[in-house]
Amino acid sequence: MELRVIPYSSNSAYQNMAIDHALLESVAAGNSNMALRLYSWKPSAVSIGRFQSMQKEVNLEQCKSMGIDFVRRITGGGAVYHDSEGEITYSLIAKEGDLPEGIQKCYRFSASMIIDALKSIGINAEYAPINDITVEGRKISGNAQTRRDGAVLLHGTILYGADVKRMFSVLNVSKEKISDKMIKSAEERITDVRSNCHASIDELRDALLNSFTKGRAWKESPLTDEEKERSIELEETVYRNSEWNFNR
Amino acid sequence: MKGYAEKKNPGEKLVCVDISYSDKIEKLMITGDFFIHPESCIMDIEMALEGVPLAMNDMELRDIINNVVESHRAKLVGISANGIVAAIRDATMREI
Repeated sequence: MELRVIPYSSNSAYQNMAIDHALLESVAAGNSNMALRLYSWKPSAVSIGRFQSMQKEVNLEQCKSMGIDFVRRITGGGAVYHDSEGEITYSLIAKEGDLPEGIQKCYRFSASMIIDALKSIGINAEYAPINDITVEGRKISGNAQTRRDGAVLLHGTILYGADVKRMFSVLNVSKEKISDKMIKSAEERITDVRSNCHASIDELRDALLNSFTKGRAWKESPLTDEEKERSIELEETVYRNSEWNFNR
Repeated sequence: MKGYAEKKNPGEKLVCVDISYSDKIEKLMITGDFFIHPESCIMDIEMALEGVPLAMNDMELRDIINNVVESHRAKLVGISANGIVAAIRDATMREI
């Protein structure tokens, strides 16, 4: 099956989550082949996992004062700071039957492609179950997934140039969360591409595209009119809606 | 009374519990960076535990959770019945 590659774009948090959701529905309905998106967030934003508490995980006052959006994902996992210039996000949307069976095998699958991409620009990374990728024990990528009607949405971030101070000024990280990491602070847990090699962010993006498309027929294909319309509807009714964003 | 606890069992994700309780669980919210599919399972676990006497032992609480999980045929990653019960017990010892 030909992989559909959605053209790279920068969008608001609400648009990004709505587009991933619309593509999940499109693939589930059989209206789209397996799809890959590479994208960034403008303005910078915080996304939280499906089961997290917005109030507890995010310093909302700090976000508002810095013009940083905040949104709840449909995928589980943790809170992520998406710097508009400092990371690339991918999403891979496929029928369950086109991916390895089970949640953890899917993480291993996407992790292998990210690890290959990082290797191609000179970084030795490894999969750190359940859903992280690390370089010498420090997190460089976090991943999340959900399933709807027989389709899987896998998405994650690859840190290019992490502004760690800014990141942890908007994320509230509990001591309990890092208790088993053998480190003193959350900041010590993070690394990025820029700290490990000289690749530009465009080279990272190309490396990710090459890795995800390796050995596959693929074609760039923008959102259809139906997908655009559905993403606008989801953006307004779900992702900009405080009932959704503050439902836990 | 109200309580809150965060619990991270080795190899699992963070599980947080907000609880209102008397001699039984009045209201419960489970949050964290775990994964459950289908997602609605977490709300059903919360509902199944509301009204349950805290005098129940851990095994009985785990059975309630596992029954909900089995009825949904849910997949839990980074969270377990053990972890939820441990967080509930911690929350009832940390009054807010």
